Amino acid sequence: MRESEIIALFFARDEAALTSVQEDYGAYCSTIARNILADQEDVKECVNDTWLKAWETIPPNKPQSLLAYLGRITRNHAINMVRNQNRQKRAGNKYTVALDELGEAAAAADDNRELEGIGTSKLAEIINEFLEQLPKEKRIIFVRRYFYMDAVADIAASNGLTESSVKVSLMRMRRQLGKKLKEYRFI
Amino acid sequence: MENKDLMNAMGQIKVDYIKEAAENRAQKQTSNVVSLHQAKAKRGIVKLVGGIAAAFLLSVALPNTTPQVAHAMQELPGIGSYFKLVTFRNYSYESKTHSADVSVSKVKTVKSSDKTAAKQAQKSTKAINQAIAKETNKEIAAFKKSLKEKGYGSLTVKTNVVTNNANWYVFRLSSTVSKADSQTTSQYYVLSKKTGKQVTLSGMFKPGYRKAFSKNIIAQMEQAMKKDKNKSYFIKAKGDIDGFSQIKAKQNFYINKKNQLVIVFDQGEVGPMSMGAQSFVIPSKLVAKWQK
Repeated sequence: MRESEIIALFFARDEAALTSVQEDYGAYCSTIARNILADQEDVKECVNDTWLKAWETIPPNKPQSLLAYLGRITRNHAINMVRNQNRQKRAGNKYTVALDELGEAAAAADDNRELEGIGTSKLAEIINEFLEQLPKEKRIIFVRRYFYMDAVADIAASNGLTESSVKVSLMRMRRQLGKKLKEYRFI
Repeated sequence: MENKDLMNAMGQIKVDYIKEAAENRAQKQTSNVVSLHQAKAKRGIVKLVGGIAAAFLLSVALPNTTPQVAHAMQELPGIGSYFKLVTFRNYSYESKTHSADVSVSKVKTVKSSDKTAAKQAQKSTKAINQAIAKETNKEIAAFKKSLKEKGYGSLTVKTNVVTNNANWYVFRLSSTVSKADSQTTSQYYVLSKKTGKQVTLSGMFKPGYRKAFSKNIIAQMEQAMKKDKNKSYFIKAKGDIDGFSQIKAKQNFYINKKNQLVIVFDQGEVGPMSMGAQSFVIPSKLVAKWQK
């Protein structure tokens, strides 16, 4: 079923919308949750919560892309589950490793006190600006790693690259982002 | 600022970035197959599955049409050429405003049980490698020239194996140049394992194939636009003067792992740049009808 048709079902408060998203986006959302949560039950819970959240928020929201909307809910909810339910010890490795890697960019901006007061949305603006300047192929690698939390090996395999070249690309991009965050204090 | 702040902010990136990465993730299965082939190539055991090659042209259109045909193919002796990609040219550059990542391979003949095919394969790979070298050097020279320009710029050139099955060895040389916008162009190289030759559309199909395949491609474009209002193709017959009417004599194409003929258009060639490169699988029946 097309995205617009599923969104129309949500707006009509037709529960067939939930069946449709499960059929069309179940695998997609599960892989995102599985990258973050190690426990299969948590993955199921996270994905079910995603459908519920979608049901509660569409309408009034009318997603530009249902795929991105559901992916974002799943990802952010899975991260919150890790944090809020005190399940760090059960967290999937991919999330914790990706979190540590991003620390490199955060560390570059550590002495930047102005950034302390900046909300996540402002940081997101900076990251979006950074992503916009990247070539598409590199941007995909960065987003797969730090949005979807995909394993480096998977990213390499689906792009015909070696793991080491993906790691080098990620390292360079993290440094670039770190520099950008550092520069931001002068804006 | 903590790592988790950045992780939270990543959760708010633009929809377009989430979508383009999702598309890349969806290619996972196909690419895994490719990567397995690449892994095998590194170990030097790229093998031709014996026996299918003699019926290779038919199999483009009708792979394993009937159990009888499949059985007959299995009985044929194994003939063919072996190919692999080996690193040829690496170039990287990194500055505040410019970056280049060139990692290009050349194709090499590993082994063949057929001397004629082996000789032909060597000839084909030599010509292909010269073309790759020429194209790569051209891109690097243009990039070096662009270093003097203001603003950001980047270049990525790479090669990757697309198909490596019993009949075909296909690889792609792609080049992405980013300035204000990003544009990717690709060139596919299709090698027959039976003959060792680089195949061309005009070599495989009877005169008239361009018109027939183009008609089918236009029908696919119209169908896609009907199905998805966000899609928009440039079609000459629909009033677009510069729109698509017929595939070129040297049209970019490849043969996928299912032995299907795929016609490829670079980004911006038949649709808006935002739609990216476009590819159309030509139905097997149509392919069979026009085969020489």
